Amino acid sequence: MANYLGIDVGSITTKMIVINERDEVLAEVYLRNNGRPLEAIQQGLESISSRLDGETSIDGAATTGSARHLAAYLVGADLVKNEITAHSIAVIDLFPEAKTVFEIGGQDSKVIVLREGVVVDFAMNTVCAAGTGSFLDQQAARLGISIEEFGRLALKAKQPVRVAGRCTVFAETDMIHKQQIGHSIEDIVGGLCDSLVKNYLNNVCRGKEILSPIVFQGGVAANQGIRKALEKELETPLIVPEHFGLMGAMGAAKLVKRAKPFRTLFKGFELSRKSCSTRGFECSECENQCEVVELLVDREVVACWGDLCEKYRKSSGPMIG
Amino acid sequence: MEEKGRIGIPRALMFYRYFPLWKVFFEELGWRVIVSDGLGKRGKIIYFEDSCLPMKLLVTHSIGLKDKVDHLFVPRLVSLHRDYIMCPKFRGAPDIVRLATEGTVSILDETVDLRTREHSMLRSFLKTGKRLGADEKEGKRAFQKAEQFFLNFQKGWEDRINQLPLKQVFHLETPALPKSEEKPFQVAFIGHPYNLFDTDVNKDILSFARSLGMRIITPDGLSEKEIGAQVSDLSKEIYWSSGREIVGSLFHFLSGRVDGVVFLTSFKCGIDALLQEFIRRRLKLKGGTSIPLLVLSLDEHSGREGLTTRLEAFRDVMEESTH
Repeated sequence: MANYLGIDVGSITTKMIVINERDEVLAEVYLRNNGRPLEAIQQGLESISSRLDGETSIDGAATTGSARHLAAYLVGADLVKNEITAHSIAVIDLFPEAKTVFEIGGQDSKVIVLREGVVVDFAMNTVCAAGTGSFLDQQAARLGISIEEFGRLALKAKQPVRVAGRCTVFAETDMIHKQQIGHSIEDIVGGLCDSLVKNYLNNVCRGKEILSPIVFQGGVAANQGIRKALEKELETPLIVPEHFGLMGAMGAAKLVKRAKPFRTLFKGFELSRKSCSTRGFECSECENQCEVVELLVDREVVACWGDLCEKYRKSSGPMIG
Repeated sequence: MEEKGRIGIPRALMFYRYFPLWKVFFEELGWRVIVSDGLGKRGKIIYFEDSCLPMKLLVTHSIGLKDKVDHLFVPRLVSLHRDYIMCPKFRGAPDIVRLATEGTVSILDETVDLRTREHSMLRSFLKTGKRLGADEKEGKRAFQKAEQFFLNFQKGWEDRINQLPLKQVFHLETPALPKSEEKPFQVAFIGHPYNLFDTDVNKDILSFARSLGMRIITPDGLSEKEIGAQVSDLSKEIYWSSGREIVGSLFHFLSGRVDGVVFLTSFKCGIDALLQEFIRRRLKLKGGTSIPLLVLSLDEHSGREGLTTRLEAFRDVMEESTH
């Protein structure tokens, strides 16, 4: 049976999933990038291959997420897809009746409006990353608790305090103030969840018709505090998929499964043992002054991008859509 | 004809609509026209006071030009419509440039206010001509030539933006090409011309749109009547002409004929902020739209990724809805 690999490289984490023709999940990986996406992708490949049966072949690979192009050149992807479409494909397949998708990741938050299994509208956060995973991480670290504990503490809040959720900088100032006047950590964490949810609903979801059933996914869906605050605010239960953190990767895998590449461009799991690096230079041939990036595998340039005129490109590259 | 001197035109604001008219006018009077260079990818914007991005760009381009020319052309555009006005910042634009250049360059800043006869486009240009030593007859002849050229240029506009590299659409000597091949999507791009066509501001998003199979349609081709039809029933009139044009053309296109509508707004623009809210409420009243609409907000971010991701996803939405 044919198997398909979906890779989602976001701003904070890398997610990979392998599914077979019957959409069964054979293996999955979720790891932090720690600011080094190339290494994270290599690590991801290594750990996902260790979870697969040695016989498993990959018949198609697709990438998504904000580093989708980098990932595609590195692993040899048959398909590159933007994360909005990838996320919605996964939802439509699993929950055909869903009308709204909330997706909150490391630095992005999105809302996708579905009607009768078709995406009709979407929005992404713009200049502000308040309420996304990296902000929650930061605040948890500042309070000296793990992000897992953060969610549990929020559930214990008795009198959630009011925190300015409009802006991460103000939210932090506000929280420090609340601590200093003596509110309990549970109430502060609970209050933070409430205000971030209000910020998300008022900014990202502004003007969008939010109808139930609502699917909530992305890394932040693991946070019970945020989840409960969303349910309270919208007065409706949310559906959190089993693989809530991997939905982008799953969407990518499903897309490449549909595309059924005749012969995959995937370079294989051995890539994790090769030396991979990138280097950049600024081309000065015209006023565009493009920042050109070269990808090196075992010291050989295998791909090049960033040049608007495409003069440095060697390979034809993956299908971009 | 002997060259009388050099006129500098900053690549900013209404340059992105009227440049052909301006250039031909000055050339007809025997002046050479110099345009500021693009900012390039590493372009530094000069921060002058706390103004919006288009004004910062006006200052940046003016400062870049001032030592190369005898006069800078920064008209005082109060109104470009019989009844409506421009954003108040346009009225102050020459003064802002004068302050920023500390009076080191002569600025041609005649007023254009189409609500009054005294400040018609022709009158304004005659005054400018006079300052450059041309008599009324010479001025009139140059203006008529310029106007004729401009009208012809506008007829070829859609072909230009769909076929030429976007950086070259205002290279007047490059001819407009014949109609191109069919594209799968017809998409209306709406916004202030200095957001839509300044590739430094919008990271050349129109080229990217073209590469995704979109044929670009802009409000430039719409008549006053078509725009007015969509804004005549408003409870409160929009008194900025650009705002009227944006809202009018947006609802015109949403009522049919295109596969999608993209509204490019700039982050710190007061008019855009109000228009967005206004459009949202009106859409709600109308029970939404069957034609996909995308609002893209431009800021001073250097990355292009945010724009391209949204546009790719938007293409997928159009694909679904046309099936």
